[in-house]
Amino acid sequence: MHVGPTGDLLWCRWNYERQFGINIRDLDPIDYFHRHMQSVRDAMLNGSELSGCRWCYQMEQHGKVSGRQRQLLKTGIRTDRFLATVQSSPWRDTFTASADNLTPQDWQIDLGNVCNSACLMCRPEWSSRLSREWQQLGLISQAPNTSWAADPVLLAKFISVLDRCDQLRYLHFLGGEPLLNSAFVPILKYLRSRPDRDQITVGFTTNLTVWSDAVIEQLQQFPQVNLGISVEAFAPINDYVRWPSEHTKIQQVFDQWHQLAQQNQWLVTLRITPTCLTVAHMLSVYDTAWELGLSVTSCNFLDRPEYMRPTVLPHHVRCDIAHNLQHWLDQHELVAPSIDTVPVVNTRHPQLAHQAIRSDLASYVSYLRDSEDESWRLPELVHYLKQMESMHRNSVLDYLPEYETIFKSAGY
Amino acid sequence: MKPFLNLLATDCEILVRVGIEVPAPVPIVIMRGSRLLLRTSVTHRSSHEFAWPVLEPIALTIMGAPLNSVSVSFDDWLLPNSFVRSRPGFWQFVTHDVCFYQWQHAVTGQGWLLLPTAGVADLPHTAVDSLVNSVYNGDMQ
Repeated sequence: MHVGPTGDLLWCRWNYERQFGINIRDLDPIDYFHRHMQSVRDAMLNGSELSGCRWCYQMEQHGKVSGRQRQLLKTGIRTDRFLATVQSSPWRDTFTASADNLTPQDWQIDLGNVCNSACLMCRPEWSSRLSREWQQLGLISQAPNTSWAADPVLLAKFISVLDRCDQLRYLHFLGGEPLLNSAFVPILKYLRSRPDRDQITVGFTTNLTVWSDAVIEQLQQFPQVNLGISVEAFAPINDYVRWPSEHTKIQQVFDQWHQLAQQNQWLVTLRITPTCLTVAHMLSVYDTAWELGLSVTSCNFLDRPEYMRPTVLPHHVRCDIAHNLQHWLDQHELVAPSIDTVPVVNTRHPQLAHQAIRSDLASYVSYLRDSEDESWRLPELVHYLKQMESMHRNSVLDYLPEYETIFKSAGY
Repeated sequence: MKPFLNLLATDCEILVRVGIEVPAPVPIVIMRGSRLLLRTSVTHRSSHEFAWPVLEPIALTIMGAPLNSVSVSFDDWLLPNSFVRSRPGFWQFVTHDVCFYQWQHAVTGQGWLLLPTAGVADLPHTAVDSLVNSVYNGDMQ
């Protein structure tokens, strides 16, 4: 189950196709799970390919472990051995039975758009700061109806929904920036009051500009915490894209989180959103991950905004980047796999981090080399950057001087 | 793509490939659980293929002295020796109460299995959970 930042209810954390009127404000999420999601389940059982799954299909096309594969893995199913693993899955009979007696165990909860960052690839639904900037620039006329969890009535409603769930196993929190969201601590406190509290894993993703002792105090009471850290590069370009972060401070906060995670045996994942501005610099993240044995995850190949996709770079530039990524892979061979693994790597397994890193980076080599050219979107990109730079008072050329010719030919 | 219900109704088997090397001609016996699967004589090197019902826990025993080496794959996944019990003339691999793919899920570190609320008592969870716990009890998003 996925509650979006605007309160929209979605049937998968990787599906962003909203349905009008399907919102926690109007609908009980468990009713949605039982009744509205039945059509999705029926379509899946009938072998239909759902349009909401297209991002995952694209990832798999380039050898990237998709969200679909990760979710299936939780029930023991692998796409490379689908029939055999479906039949072997403990869920085999449940998939075909009525869901009326089940309640969601696995949630992604986007608490709302309260955020202190205005990342260039983000949208107002996920960032209150970006929302304000877009309003000032005239890109949107009014702020989106977000931060549902800030409404005490909706928050109480949501906690009562969780209370009706027989068992909870995993809840991942996003924002905005969840550490700034006032609903995060009350939900964590509720989860600790449940009888099954020691079975619950909590995950969240933070942007390395915030630290909250109150949240950490709560998190330390859970048996397992998955800490996602959003970063594009340990380099100045991160400041430009994840504005107004400062990469020197980011590094300090990262060290703090990493130390805390080690002390508490939390699982750390570096979460990147490669764009045309950062894809050439993301190796600094892979370097850190490799050195520390952390995994790197990007939700999908960026879909929106279209003008920030890595495929907006001219093909010869993309091939140069792919060459560099491949060179990195050649220099970071696995000494010996710690576990004899299977093709779909569990990207969350600490001992498989190096395999997961290589698998993820290799998918970008394929994607950069083989995806359709979209360099015709460059003028749209430049137009957007110029608008945002008028707010941020900076220039992309200070961060990416190597792209000066490309950007100037597109109107910069 | 086939409807899911048809997939569930399809008989599914695992392809087991066994490769055996011996230093001198020797009779060997391959057992599926307590039943005889094959009795033959191997002169130097031999390979055999079997279909194993996907839901049947694996209990594969090879006996014949002496055995130089035994390699076994399940659906082309080569079984690591660390999961094998062996002594001179004896080779055995068992998945205990769980079917092969649940066992493989655990030992290859794919995380815990989410389990449905209904029907939990009917499933060999104890065996799966102990396997998972022995490897990694983590979650993935």
